[in-house]
Amino acid sequence: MVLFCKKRKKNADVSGDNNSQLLESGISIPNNQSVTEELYRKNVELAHTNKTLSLLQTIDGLVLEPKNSLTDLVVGISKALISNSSYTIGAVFLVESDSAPLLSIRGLSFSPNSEVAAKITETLNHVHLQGDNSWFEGSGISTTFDLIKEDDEKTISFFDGDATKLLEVAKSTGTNSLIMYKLKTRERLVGVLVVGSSEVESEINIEEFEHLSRICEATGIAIDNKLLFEEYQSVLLKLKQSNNKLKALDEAKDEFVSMASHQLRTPLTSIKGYLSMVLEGDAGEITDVQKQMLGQAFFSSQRMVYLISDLLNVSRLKTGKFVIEPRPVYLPDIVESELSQLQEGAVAKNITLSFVKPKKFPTISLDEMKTRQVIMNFTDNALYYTPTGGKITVELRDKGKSVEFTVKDTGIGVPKNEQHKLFAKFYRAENARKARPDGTGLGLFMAQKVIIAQGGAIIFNSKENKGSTFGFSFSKAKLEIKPDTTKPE
Amino acid sequence: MNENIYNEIALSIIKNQESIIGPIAIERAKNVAGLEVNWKDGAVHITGEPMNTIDNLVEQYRVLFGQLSIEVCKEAASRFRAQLDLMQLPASLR
Repeated sequence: MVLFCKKRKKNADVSGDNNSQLLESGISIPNNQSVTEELYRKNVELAHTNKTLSLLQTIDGLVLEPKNSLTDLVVGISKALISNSSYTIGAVFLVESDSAPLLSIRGLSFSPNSEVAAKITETLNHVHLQGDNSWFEGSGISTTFDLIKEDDEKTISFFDGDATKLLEVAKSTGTNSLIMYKLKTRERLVGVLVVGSSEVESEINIEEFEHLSRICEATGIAIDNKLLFEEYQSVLLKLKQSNNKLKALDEAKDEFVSMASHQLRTPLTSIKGYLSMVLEGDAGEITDVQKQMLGQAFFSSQRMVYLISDLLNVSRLKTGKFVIEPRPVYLPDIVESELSQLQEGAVAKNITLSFVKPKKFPTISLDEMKTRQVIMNFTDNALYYTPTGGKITVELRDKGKSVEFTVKDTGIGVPKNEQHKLFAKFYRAENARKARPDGTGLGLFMAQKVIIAQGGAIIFNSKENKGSTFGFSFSKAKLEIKPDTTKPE
Repeated sequence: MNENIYNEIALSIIKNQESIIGPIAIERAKNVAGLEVNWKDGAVHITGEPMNTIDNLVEQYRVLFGQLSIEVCKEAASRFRAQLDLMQLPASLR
């Protein structure tokens, strides 16, 4: 039943005796009593609107309070309904799930004078509404129960076994009618608002329904928002749990990589050592072909050492164990020594690898092992990505206030739109992946970390299909420089 | 029966009227014989015969604002109706 068609209650006619009584009371009144009454009527309407606004504000406040759960919200709304009006009961039922035609009570308040109601609140907390009757399926948004007429059949169709208790409480609070409103939002039923009125159905005026209609609209939205918020919180919790699992897996992976790298490094050191001894003739003379083959094996094992080193350093970066161990180094010797390992590869590819060793260069304080890796990485990359017949120029310059190392090639270059990501962990440019599918994407990442950790800067510029320049520079002021510029003992 | 219920009814009526007409509602209540109003503390105390006193209070508003003001008084007292028999309810609120 839709009740919005009810007529407004009419005011009583004004008695002619009023003016004389008011004059006796000594209060100044307007000459026209009807004007006063009309003003009073307007004020009543304003007071009703004010009441509605005040309730809406309370609902807003309840929604905006992040600590409030859905239950807190509906309990707050039912309490506000009671304290803000003359309702005897305020209750909010919520749809338990989309599939079950059952609504459970979540918020319940009574007129403050009802001791009986308070005593059986516990029982009332189990009252349900049956959501499978014609009212729920129909388009009407409100209906009333006239408790004076005691329409048992209608009551039974709505309430379950505890319905009698609810009606008992309703009567104890002076309730003569129960008004029920569907709480709908986005075309979906989220609950039902029930208020008790001391007036019988026929006496309830239209303002009351207008007021309730607006409150229900806001309550429906508030409940929907809270449901969405709780859903979001639940998803967030699941994501956090999933993230924690992934972190644990990541840690386990790092631990494994770290352990495996350590384990791999030991036999590699042995392989490198024996290869070096054979190459140096400790096991007898070897032919040039044997020397070339063993040299390649030595170079490859050195590459593997660097690769393992990169993996270990990445792992150390994550665990905070990545440390720079500086000591005086003479860069020209280091560059020369690293390039000598690549010379054969360059010849095999018909690439000109040139390096003019500076005659005078300062001794600077760097982590030798890690800097060697950077030099090797830049030059080795140049060798990989430069086509046959190309040119690689390695330069080491003392620029007065700084020292600079660069590797310039005529290789495939880095596409402009990928250059900003080139030093990111595991990142590899599209053309680099095609040219060398087995790269790890760790070399440049670690190179940048090593140089920056030592107070230096990376040099990089590139043009696709033209070539690239990779390098680093260090300010002399930041490094310990010996006055004697000869190489250390 | 709780004697205080009439005090509560009177307080509820004045509050409701005050929300509509402002301070004049309190001034009118102070004119009622047998009704002490301490609005600062939000308290009223009926010293006279309770039902007559409430009828007089309702009348104060009726003479100024007509029948609608009686409806407002009834609405204010509605939540207390269940605790009183019809004969215990002031005539103006029945």
